[in-house]
Amino acid sequence: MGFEKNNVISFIIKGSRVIVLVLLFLVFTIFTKNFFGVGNSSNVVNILLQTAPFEILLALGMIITMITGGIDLSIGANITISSFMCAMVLQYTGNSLAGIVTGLLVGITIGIINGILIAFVGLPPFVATYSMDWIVKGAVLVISQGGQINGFDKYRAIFNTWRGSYLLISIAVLILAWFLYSKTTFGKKTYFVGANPSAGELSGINSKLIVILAYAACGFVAAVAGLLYIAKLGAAEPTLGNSFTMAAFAAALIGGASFAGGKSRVLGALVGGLIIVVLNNGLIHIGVPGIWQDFAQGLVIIVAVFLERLMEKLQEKNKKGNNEKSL
Amino acid sequence: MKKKVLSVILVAAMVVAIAGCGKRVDSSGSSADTGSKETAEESADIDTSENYLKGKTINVLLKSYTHMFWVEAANEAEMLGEQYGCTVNVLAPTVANSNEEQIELIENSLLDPPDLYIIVPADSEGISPAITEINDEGVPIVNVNTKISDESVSYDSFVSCNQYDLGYTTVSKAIEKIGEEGKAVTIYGKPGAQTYEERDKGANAAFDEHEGWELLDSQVANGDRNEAMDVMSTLLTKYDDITMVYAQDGEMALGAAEALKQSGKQNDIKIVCENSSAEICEQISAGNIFMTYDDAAWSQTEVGFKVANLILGEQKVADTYYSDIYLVDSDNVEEYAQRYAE
Repeated sequence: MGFEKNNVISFIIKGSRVIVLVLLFLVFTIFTKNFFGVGNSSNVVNILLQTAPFEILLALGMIITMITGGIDLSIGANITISSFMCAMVLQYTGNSLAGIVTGLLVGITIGIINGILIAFVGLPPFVATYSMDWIVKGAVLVISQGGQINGFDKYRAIFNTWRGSYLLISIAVLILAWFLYSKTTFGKKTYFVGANPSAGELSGINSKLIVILAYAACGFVAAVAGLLYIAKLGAAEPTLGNSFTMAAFAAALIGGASFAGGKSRVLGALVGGLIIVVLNNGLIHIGVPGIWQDFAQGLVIIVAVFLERLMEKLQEKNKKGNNEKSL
Repeated sequence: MKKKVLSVILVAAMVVAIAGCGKRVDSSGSSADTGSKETAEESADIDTSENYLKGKTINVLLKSYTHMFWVEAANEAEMLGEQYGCTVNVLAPTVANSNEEQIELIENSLLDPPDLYIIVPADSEGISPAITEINDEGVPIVNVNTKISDESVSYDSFVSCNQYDLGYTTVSKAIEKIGEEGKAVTIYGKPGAQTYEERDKGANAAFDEHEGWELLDSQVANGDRNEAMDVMSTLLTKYDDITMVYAQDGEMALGAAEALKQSGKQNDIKIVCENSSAEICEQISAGNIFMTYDDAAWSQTEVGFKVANLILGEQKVADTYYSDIYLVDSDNVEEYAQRYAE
C-alpha cells in the first residue's frame, strides 16, 4: 500500500508541470470559445508554431546555465546583439549564411566571455552576466545609433516559407541539448560539477571548462533565438531582447529549474515554455484585461513554484518515513 | 586581486556604455513640412525673430535612444542646435524609459550646469528628485511630451501634442474613412504611462460617439513590436470579425501588421496608429497600415527650442504649448516619407 502511495506521489511530482499544462489547456478550452476546439485548432497551431519556439529557447538557455549553479542575466542582450550583427551582415552582404554564422559566433563568444569571467576570474554568475548585459546593451546602442535594420526578405524566406520552421529548429536545439546533458559523459560531469564544484575538481573533472562550455551553449541558444526573431519580425531592433531575460527566467522556473546546481532538467524548458505561452494566450481568450495580465502571470508563477516545492517536501517526508519503516 | 581589477574594468565598461548615450552633438539636417496639419489647441506660432540661444548650452533629456520616435527627436535637437548656434547635449538612458538612469544623468550633468534643460521624463512623478535639484540650481526647464505631475517642483513651460486629442482624432478620422460600423481592438502601450493612458481615453471617447462601432478588446503590448505581433495573432484567433486595429504607437502597429500578413488578413483589417517613421511610411505605401497620425517628435522638439529661446530671452511664456499632429495615409505618404528619408 505504502509502495503504491509512493508511486502515485512520485508520478505526480515528476509530471506536475505537465499536469499544470494540461489543466491550463483544459480550462481555457472549456471556458473560452476560440482557444481550442474540434475543427478550431488555428489558435493552438499558432501558439505552437509562432510563440512557443521562442519561449522554449529562452528557457533552455537559462536552464543550461542553472545546471552549473549559475544564471545568465545577459541572455536578452545576447539575443539583441547576435540578431543585430546578423542583420548588419545581411544588410551589407545580402548573404544569409554569412549573417547566420556571424550571429552564432557573436552569441557563442559572449557566452564564452561570461564563462571565463565566472570560471577563471571567479566572479559570481550574477555579477558577471549582469555586467555583460549592460556592456552588450551599450554596445548595441553604439553600433545601431538607436536605429533599426529591416528589409532582409531573402533571409526571412528561409525561415518563413514553411510555418513549422521555428518549432522544428527549437525542438532540434532542445533535443541536442537533452542528448548532451542527459546521455553523454560530458552531461553527467556537468551535473556533478553543478551539484558540487569542489568535489568535481577533486575528482579530476575540468570544472572550469564545463562552466565555460555551459555559458557558450547558452550563448549559442540565445543566438539561435535572435536569428529566428528577426526572421519573424522582419526587423532587428536595439531593444529586442530587453524583456527576454526575465521571460527566460520565468519559463525556466516554471519548467522546474532550480537555483541549486545539478538539479535542473533540460526538458523542463519545453514544459515551462509551453505553460508560459498557453497562459499568455489563454488569458487573452478568457477575457482578462490587458492591464491585469502581468499580475496574473506573476501569480501563476509563484503558485507553480510553491506547489512544486511543496510536493518535493512531501516526497522527502515520504521517503524518510519508508526508510524508517524498512529499518 | 585579479577579481578586483576585472570588476573595476567591468564597471568602467558599464560607465562607458552609459556615457555612450549622452553625447555632445554637432550635426545638421533639414525638414520638409508635408502632411495635413490637424490640431493646435494653443498656437505654437512663437516669435523667434531674436536668437537668445546663441552661445548657450541646452541639455536635452529623452526617454531613450533606441526608439525611433526619440531618435528623431535627438536628430531634430542636433539640427536645431546648429541652427541656433548653441551647444546641445542629448542625454538618454541606456535602458529605455529608466527613471533611475534619467535622474542619474541629470545629477551628473548638474556638475557643469547648462543654461536650460529640455526634459522628457520617463516617469511623470518619479523624475521629481532630479527636477528639485535643477530647481535648486535655478536652471530653467522646458518640459516636453510627458508632463511632470509633481506640483512641488517647477518648470517653465510644457510642450506636447495633446495626447487625448491625438487618440480621439486618430480614431475619429479612421471611422470617417472606414465607415460608421465596425469592430475594433486596441493594442495598448504601457499601462501606467500617462501618454498611452491619455491616448486611450481619447480613442475610447471617439468609439463611444459612434454607436455602430464596438471596441471588442484592449490588450497590452508594452510598445514592443514582438509583443504586439503575438497579441495580434491571439486576437485574430479570438475574434473573426475585427474591422480595425488601433495601435497606440507605430512600433506596435508594425508588429500587428506582421501578424495580419502572416494570417493573410491584411486586406480585411485596417490598422491605424500614432507616430511615423520611414518603415511606417513604407507599410502605409504597401497598404499594410491604413493611416497614422504623427505626433511628430521633430515638431515637439522644434516648439521646445522656440520656448527655450523665449525663456532665455526673458520673454513671457505660456504654461502649455501644443505641437501639431500630421495625418499620414495613402494620399500623402509618398510626400511625407521624404521627411524620414533625409
